[in-house]
Amino acid sequence: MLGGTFVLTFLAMAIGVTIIMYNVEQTIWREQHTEDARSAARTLTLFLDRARNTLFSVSIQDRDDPGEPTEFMQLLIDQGEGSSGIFELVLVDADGHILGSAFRGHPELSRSLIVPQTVWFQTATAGTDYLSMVQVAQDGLPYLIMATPGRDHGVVAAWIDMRILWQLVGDMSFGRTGQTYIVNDRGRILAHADPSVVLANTSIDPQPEFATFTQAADAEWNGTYRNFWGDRVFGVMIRLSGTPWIAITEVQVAEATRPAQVVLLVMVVSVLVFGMVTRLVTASLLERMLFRPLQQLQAGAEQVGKGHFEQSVDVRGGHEIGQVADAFNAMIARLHDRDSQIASRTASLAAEFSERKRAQIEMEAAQARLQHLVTESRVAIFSAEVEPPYAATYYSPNSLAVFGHSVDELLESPDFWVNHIHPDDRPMIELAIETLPATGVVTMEYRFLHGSGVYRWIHEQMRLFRNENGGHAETIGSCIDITDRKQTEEELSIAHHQALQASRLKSEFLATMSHEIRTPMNGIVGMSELLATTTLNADQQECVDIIEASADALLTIINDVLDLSKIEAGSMDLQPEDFSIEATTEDVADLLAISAHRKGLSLYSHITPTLPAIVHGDPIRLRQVFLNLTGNAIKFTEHGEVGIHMYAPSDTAAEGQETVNVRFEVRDTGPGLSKTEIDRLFVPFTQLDSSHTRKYGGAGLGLAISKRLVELMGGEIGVISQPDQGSTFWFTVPLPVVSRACASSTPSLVGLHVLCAVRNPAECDTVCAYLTAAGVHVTCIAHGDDVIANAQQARRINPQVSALILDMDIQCPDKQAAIREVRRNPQLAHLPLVLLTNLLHRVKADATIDRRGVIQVHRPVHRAQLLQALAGAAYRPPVTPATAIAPAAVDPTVTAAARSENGKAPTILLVEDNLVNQKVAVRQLQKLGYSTAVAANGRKAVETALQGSYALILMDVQMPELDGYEATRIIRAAEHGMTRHVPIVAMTANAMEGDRGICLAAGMDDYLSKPLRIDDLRSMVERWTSLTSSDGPVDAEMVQHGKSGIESDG
Amino acid sequence: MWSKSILFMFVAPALLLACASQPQPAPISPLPQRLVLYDWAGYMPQSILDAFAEETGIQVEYAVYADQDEAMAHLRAGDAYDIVVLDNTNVPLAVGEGLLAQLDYENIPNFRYVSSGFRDLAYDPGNTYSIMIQWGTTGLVVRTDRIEEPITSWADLWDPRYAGKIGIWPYPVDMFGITLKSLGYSLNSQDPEELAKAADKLLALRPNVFLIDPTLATGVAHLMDDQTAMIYGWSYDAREAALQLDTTTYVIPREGTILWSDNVTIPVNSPHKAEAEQFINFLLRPDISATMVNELWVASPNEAAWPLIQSDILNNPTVYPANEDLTQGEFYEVISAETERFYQQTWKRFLAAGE
Repeated sequence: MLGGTFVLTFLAMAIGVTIIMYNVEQTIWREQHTEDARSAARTLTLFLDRARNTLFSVSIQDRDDPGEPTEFMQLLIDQGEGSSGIFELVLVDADGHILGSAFRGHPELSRSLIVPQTVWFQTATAGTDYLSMVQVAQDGLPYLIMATPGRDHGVVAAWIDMRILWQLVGDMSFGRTGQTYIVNDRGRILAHADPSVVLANTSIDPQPEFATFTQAADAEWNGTYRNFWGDRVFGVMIRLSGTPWIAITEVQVAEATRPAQVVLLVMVVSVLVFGMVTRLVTASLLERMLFRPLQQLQAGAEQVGKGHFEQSVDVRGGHEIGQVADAFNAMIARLHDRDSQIASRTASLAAEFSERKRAQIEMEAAQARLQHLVTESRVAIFSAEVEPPYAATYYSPNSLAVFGHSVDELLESPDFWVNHIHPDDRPMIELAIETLPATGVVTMEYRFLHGSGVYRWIHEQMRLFRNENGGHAETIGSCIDITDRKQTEEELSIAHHQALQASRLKSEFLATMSHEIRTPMNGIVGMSELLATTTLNADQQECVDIIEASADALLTIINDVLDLSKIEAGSMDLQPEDFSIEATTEDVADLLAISAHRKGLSLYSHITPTLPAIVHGDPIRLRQVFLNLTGNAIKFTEHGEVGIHMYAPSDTAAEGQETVNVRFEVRDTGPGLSKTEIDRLFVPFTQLDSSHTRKYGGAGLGLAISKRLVELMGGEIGVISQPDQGSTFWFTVPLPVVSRACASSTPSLVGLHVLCAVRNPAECDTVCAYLTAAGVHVTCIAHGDDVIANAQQARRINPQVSALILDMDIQCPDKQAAIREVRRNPQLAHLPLVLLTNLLHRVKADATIDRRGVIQVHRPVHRAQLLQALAGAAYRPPVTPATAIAPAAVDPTVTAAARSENGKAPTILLVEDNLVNQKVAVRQLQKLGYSTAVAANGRKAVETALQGSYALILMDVQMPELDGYEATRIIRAAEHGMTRHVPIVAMTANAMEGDRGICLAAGMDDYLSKPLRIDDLRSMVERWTSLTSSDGPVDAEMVQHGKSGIESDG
Repeated sequence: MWSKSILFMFVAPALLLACASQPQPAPISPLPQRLVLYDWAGYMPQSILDAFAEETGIQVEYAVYADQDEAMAHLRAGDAYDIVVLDNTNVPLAVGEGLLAQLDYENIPNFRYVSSGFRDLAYDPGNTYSIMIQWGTTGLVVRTDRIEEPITSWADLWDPRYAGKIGIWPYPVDMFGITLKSLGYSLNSQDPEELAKAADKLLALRPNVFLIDPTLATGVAHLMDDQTAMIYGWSYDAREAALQLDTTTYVIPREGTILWSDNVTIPVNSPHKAEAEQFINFLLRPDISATMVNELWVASPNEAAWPLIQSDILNNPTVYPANEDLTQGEFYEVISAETERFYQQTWKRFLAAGE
């Protein structure tokens, strides 16, 4: 013992001394080495300085005599005899012409064809010294070019043989392993004792210490690191002044630590020898003092162990040993007493025994029953240890069926179970069992290597049983084979994944396809629209109509398919904003009015005036549903009317309510629907029957899309119908209320008396409701064919009447005559007239008609328009004919905003790379009266846009080189700080959600979806050019009249 | 006991070291079967690509561009090419935009065959990103039977005696360069005064010249018509003309030629940089460089290839001009946007003057 302590103490001392010696040694050695490195750097700097001085001495030579510098240079080279390394010197003027040169061996620099293009010339002529990289000549000779500025922007350059420098570097060796080399600032080794290192273009750049040093501004660095060749070295890096070069000197650390290692070895050996001697001496002393008494005690203890309690121990020894012996003897006495007590209790225990035996027999019977259960079930039962490797202590006999191993095999080795669990599942199992003390029960599923050699899934439940002390005794559990269930689960999961994948692919495919189809469709739609505006004979006109109709139908289908796929893919996002629900609905009605009127149907919209003016929702999607339902109604109705109703069921429209539940209904007088037809209505790709498809066209997606959109908006959709009773399609959507105030501030009409003669009762109701809500007294009269009779009758009924609303519908054969009649009638002549007309049958202006006080309102009647028209007719002074006819002087296809004051159209910059699209758009714009500049890609667009002044830029987004977004960003950046802001409207073929956001984020102002419709284009261009033109809309007054005044012939 | 622990102190670290230094298996990288070379059409003989494939098993796909703008556009788009040939004005542009990878000269030992005079040029100092493989001059291709005295100078384009008999390519940068050189200025002059003078002089040239359709491969067709006396062009125009007619010659004007060079570079996103360098090294092998010259009649900066080049090419001043013809020659440098705008404005006036 003692010897060991000594040895350890000595060993610690030895290590301590060694460390101190090592540190001292290292410090001295580092300083020594750093100093050596500095001296090496000085030598190298000196060498380069000498070369530079040589160049300098050439540059200051008198140059008047052209022979002189050459002679002097030759002298310098010969003098050096190669020791300077300079093998060629050239003097060139500021233009790069060689004024003189001298060389040993063969010329290189003076042979250069293009001196002015070289870096050495350009650097030195700009006033900076130049040192090239190490170059290798064709013959393998390494060289570098050094150049310094000469007089008058001339240059002196030298061709220096690197071998001299290499030799210099090679001679600088330190110790056994020390080396010096030169690298440039990028780590390329320029000089090294081993030329092959340089010739292999070795670079030490990846070395972190070097990178750190070159980034720092220090002139010198030293430290220990692993160098490029993988040696652990102490290195010093020093910048060579006046050059981009760095001298690196390195010595292997092993060499530096050798002396310290020798010391350590000597110390260790001497400690070992000393330890041996110490041990031998102390061993004999310890034998006498300690070991012998202890042996006597041991012998006594052995006797006690055999039951001889009567024998005490006689020990002679040191004081402490004696005390131990006494204590030993006392213990023997106590043991003797206890032994006799135990003997007396043994007799009573024997009596208890027979009782216990009986209980055991009963228990065995119970166990046998349990055993039977365990053996016959499909579940394997086991018990096992709690600690890893969870060695099993029992397996029920039927375990063979579950595990494929016999019970003997299973119990064969303690880690049999763990080892047969699938390696991937083992961590999970261990983790689960760790929680067992806390939870008491764990259930796990894992793969087990079955006796048949395959892994089978096992479901296991394991319960912890504690022994009486509360410690963990064992686990008991049950296992069952669940492989079949797992397989089913897995197959289901794969199938589910595949289904999802297929659905996603489908959506992607549809989106891509529709995009690909839209581009050529642009050509078809645009060109056929243009074609329709040219002079065509009847056959041609029919062809064009069919093309247009087909293209429209195809586009609708594509849009529908795209929408449906987006909804199904969950990528349809609503874009809620504040909007007027009345205006949105009336717009839809307007849009469909012509097709309704063409079929001879009457179309009206009735919007409860008390609906909130502004609500929050997605107007585009609502409009889509409106359009679809109304369009369907018109499509399927042959005679009668289609009415659009919008109201809020009374229970939710209460004042102060945050959300209004708007109900929208389309009532038609069409064929109606049977119960079975209704059931199939909202399913995609379902037309009611094939005859419908032929007759009405369409892919049957509209209702399916509408249903999903309405559901997306949190609403419901449905239909009420019976065959031959017409149909009412309805939907409701909850819309948060933004403003309840009336949308348009209508002129006060309160107190006015109006006669209303409208044929259609529903429409008459609408007009009356609108007027009553505005405070007008309305008298409705039955409308007959005879306008005069009606008017007079109205007048008779209510003599206070101050205006007359007359229905100029299809049944009225000669509308002009009717008006003339009214005007001639002395009773009616002064009455302001509001005529309700169809767009297709407007009353033409005629010189014989006094137009004063006559205003047309076209159907379907808009509430705001009706009120405004009535106000205009009743109160406004008569309009002068000149103003009213003004619009006729203008080609109606030319937009008003297109003409500025000087009559010259503003120029629009069209950016479009596709030639077909380009032509379509240019011709459309021409048609609208704009002149166009074209840029075929984003880069040209930026150039053109910044040079010229354009009223508007139409920007395609997908272009090579520079796309529309990027081009817009550049234009916007260039506009930064200027007052100018060219409106930029994106033209995008992918009408996917989110495009709008991207366009606006890129700095665009609006966007148009391709294919471009001439009408969309017109309104977009008008909107943005009128905003930018300094004089605003050309004539707001005229525009207004053009809408509600009487249109003249032409 | 104690001796065991001492032993452990020494043995355990040694064991650890031994474990740590066990050799790791080298990563296996499959040899790419294909490199993509992006170059002018007709500037890389197929025989060279075949030879490379035979030696190394690496196929080289030869993708061609119509002009340098197209090449730059594809580089900027990040298309993966392995070797792209760029001219001396586009190398610094591509470097500035970070499109090119630094060349690893450990893989290109054959660089030593490139003549020292063609290395380390201003457009790529230290040849960090590019190596010149072809170069040439710009000059006048002259019908000797239609001139009255030998043509020696760019200034001869303005000679009224040849009014209407001179064809020029409608390349504004070249025409400005020629005009600047004719005035004795640098090709890359940015001096407003010199530029203004050059613009005036260029406009004065308009009545003397007609424009060559830039989609023509060479301007030789014009030289074969019944009146053209000369066109400005390049060595390959001159060679083509000489093959068709004895009475043509190539003149490098004494004010100095416009030098051009084509350089091999490796785009930064080349997937096979090491193999691309292997290919460049192959191109620089003297016999391969000589094959290029012999097949294409375009000069190579490879000095070691000279002995292997056919003597009629090496001695042909059209391909390898005499040194003194080159001393005044210049490469284009990147010009400022302002100068470029001035070029374009002047060029518009030049074109308008002809209508």
